[in-house]
Amino acid sequence: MERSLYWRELELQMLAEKVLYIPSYQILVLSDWHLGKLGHFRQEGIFVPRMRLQRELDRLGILLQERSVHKVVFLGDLFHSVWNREWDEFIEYIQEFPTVEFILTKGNHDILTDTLLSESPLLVVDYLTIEKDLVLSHEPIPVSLGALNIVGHVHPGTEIYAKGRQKFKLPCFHLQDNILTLPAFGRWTGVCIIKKTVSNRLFPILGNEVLEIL
Amino acid sequence: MNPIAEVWFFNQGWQPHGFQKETWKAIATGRSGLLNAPTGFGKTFALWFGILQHYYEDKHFRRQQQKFKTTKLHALWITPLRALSKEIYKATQELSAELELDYRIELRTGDTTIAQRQKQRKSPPQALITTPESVHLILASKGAADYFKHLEFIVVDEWHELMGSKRGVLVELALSRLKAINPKLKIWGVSATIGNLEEAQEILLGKDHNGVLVRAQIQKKLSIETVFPDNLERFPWAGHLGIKLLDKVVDIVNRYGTTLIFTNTRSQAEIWYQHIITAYPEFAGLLAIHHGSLSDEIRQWVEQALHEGKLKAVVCTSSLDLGVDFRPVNCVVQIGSPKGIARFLQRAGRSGHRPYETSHIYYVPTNSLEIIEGDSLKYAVAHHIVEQRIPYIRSFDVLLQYLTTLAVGDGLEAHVVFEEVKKTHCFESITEDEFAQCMAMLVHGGKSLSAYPDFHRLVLVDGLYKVESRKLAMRHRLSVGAIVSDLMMRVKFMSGKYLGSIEESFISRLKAGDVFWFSGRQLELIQVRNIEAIVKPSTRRTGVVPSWMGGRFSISPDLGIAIRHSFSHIRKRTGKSDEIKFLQPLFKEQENRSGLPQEDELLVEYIHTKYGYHLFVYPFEGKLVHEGVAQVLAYRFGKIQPVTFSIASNEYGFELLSATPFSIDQALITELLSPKHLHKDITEGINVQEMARRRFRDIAGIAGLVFQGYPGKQMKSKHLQANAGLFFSVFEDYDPHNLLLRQAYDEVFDFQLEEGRMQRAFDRISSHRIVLTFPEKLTPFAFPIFSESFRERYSNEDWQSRLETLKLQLEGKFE
Repeated sequence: MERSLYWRELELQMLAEKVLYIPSYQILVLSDWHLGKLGHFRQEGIFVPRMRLQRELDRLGILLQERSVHKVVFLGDLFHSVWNREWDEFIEYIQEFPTVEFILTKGNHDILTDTLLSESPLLVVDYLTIEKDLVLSHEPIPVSLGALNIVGHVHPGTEIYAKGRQKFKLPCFHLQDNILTLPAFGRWTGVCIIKKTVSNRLFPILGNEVLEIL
Repeated sequence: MNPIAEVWFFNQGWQPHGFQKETWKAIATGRSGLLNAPTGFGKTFALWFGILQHYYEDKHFRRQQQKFKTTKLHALWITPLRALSKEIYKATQELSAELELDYRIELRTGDTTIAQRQKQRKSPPQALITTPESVHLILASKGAADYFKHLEFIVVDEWHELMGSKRGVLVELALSRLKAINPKLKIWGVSATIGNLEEAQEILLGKDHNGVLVRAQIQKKLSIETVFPDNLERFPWAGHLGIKLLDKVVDIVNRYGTTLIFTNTRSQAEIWYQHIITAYPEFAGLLAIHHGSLSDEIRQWVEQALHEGKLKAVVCTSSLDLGVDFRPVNCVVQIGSPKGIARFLQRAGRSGHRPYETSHIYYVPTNSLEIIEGDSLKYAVAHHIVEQRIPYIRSFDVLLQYLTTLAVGDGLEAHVVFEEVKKTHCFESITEDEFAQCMAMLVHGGKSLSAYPDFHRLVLVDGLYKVESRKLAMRHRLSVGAIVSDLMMRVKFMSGKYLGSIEESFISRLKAGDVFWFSGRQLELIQVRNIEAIVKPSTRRTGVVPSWMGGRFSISPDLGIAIRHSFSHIRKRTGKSDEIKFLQPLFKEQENRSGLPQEDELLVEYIHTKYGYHLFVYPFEGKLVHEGVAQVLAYRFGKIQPVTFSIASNEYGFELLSATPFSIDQALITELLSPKHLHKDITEGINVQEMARRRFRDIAGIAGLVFQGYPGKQMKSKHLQANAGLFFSVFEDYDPHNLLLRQAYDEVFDFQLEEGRMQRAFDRISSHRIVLTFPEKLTPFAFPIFSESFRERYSNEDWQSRLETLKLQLEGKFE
């Protein structure tokens, strides 16, 4: 289930799958997947179990099958650290979608060597501009007046106090002025709590719904 | 019999105690053992002269020693505290000097510099005084086996303290290795009186040991006095600070030389310090504060000033429970329930610790009902009721750390270590398969069935498992130990002077310019930089006191027994203690409003107030057990009628509070409190997963999953940053049968829910007559529970409908 947000007339669909879909351009945007994180821990001698990578990759695969997608933009922190085998498996996986263009706007965690990146089918850029309206980058950058900057990096989340002293932490989309921050797509990532203010909008993901805090 | 001791005692003009002679004799005949003696009677000398005697007089040893070209480590003395290590060091050092012995003694603790450590490695002293962690650090270095090869003695001081924690497991494991390296090793423990002294001895010396148990037949004189308020009517029914009795405490302080004022939590210590100084400014410079979060520098200053008799009083926490004796201290004040008899006795013993002096302790209750504990404590002391220390078993997190320690050191041979480990009490029941699983985690990073080329921790080299990566070895050395602390912020002045550390969660709630109380000073937060909070002194009158986690002790089962005994005396006509006499008006009120239970009765009250419908139950089993019992009861209620409760509990009882009325009668409450199907109801009714997740934090830290970072430095290995919660979820998802995960659940059942105690509580309740009353308003027993601020929630509405409610609330459609 999705909830739509309009930037001028442009429809942006926030999906409960923690991705943004822009129907007019058939672009799917996701951020901070941190693939290879568990692999990296293991490489460093920390005995976490191995990831069921296939299951994780299929989260993207299913999204690509369900709607027509022309481009997938990863807003940085796609891969957690230096190379491990999970990278190769990821590359193999996206090659199964030859009609889709995959773009990475580089993030602070993306420290894979340029050779590795250039050998991949990914187009690697610092930021991506779409029709002057949208600028996609890992962290906020200065953009021209009236443009929306879609970013990731902080893993936004919100804390909800329910009755009876209960507290829920939910990942959320966060709109502040002209910056829309996406929740982290990665399964094994934390959240950074954003407070609701008069000037921002928070869209927490609850189960398979995207809500808005009023 | 012990010539060295005889000379020394003669010089001092003292007579050795019986237990000292007994210990010397046992050591002279090559026995191991456990020494149980009160503080202040020369426990240290009892062992130390035995060790010296062996070094200088044992013929066999002398002959062997002549063959050595260099000095070999002769004795290892392990204490739980750096401060205590220093004290032992000082005492033994002085002794060597007085007797002009060439027996070299050195300290090795976390404070020892790298240069000193290296020197200790190259030319070992005869004796090393150290902590369990430091012993493991030596095991984590190359040549450890050689280093310990000629060790003759190992002394574990304050073993009762270590035994009930995972640090005790560290000791057990280190001993298993040292015994294997040197089968002649003589092991001695020193323990205060605990309920399971024989077990303590067996755990330390090993099963089927033939060690001796030396008990000092010395009774310390102890005077216990309860501090009463002038007026019961004006004394609060609830609360835990006790500030109302401040003037009386100051009177006591004025009557004695030096007083230690013990509080149960660090924040309570800060509050008491602040209140005394404000009300009695003349104490400035004579009153100090001491707790575990203050910097070493401040604590050492306080300790030194105590020794020198410069202080009138120190407000402190358990940080001064152990070790070091301060001669000038001749009075102790305990604020609030000490929660355990052993802790109370330990604290009392901090005063008048010289032989045959009387220890004075004053018990200061913080609310009316707590006054009765004065009676209970006296009863427990008179009847020699003391708690047991429950050792940890099957702590796989410590085992994984230990295996890595050995691999970082000389390398480990799996089957050899398995046999050694199996002899410890902690891992008595470990199976070959479980051990293999531990090895698999370290060698393959998981189940061993398939090879994982990406994982490198332990590598097999010539039949020995080793850690080859220097980076890993270094990271491991930095995280040796079984104490996992929260992320702490260092509190500093602009000038760089370090005051101590506070949990990050507290600082993060403050803004620059906010004022708070810490280390007895009023401070203003200037800024937060990395892991440092920069502060300056402030004179503004308002301020918050940080609250630290982990202050929530529960009363021990034994003190619970004593308290129930006190309550059974409420109705007696004669021979009532002062405490019970004093509380008569309160009990009268309780009886008028509801009822007063006998020893074999359980009181249950159902009360309707404007807050809702309350059910109060008073089992007197301690907070932790009450939390569990309350959740089981709530769960069982939920099976009959849909209802949502909020739960509060204290040491005496618990409360279920519902917004809607629920039906209750004698038959129903009897059935709901039955011990039948208890385990099933615990498993189904309590959110054990959430509790296990919290437990996992420590486990992940000890096992080496979470790297705490390099001391004082910003985390360099940022990509390895992850919290234990993440690991918990990963394991639950990908490896649900993992040993560490199972351990988390076991610990919840053993230590948190204390399933055993819960079972006993239910069994006991079932033998009691249940008295159900319907009072008009809250009773004196009920009120303190009702005013507990911390509440748990129990709901038998399912997760989905709770989410629905949450959604409605979010969208503003719900209230």
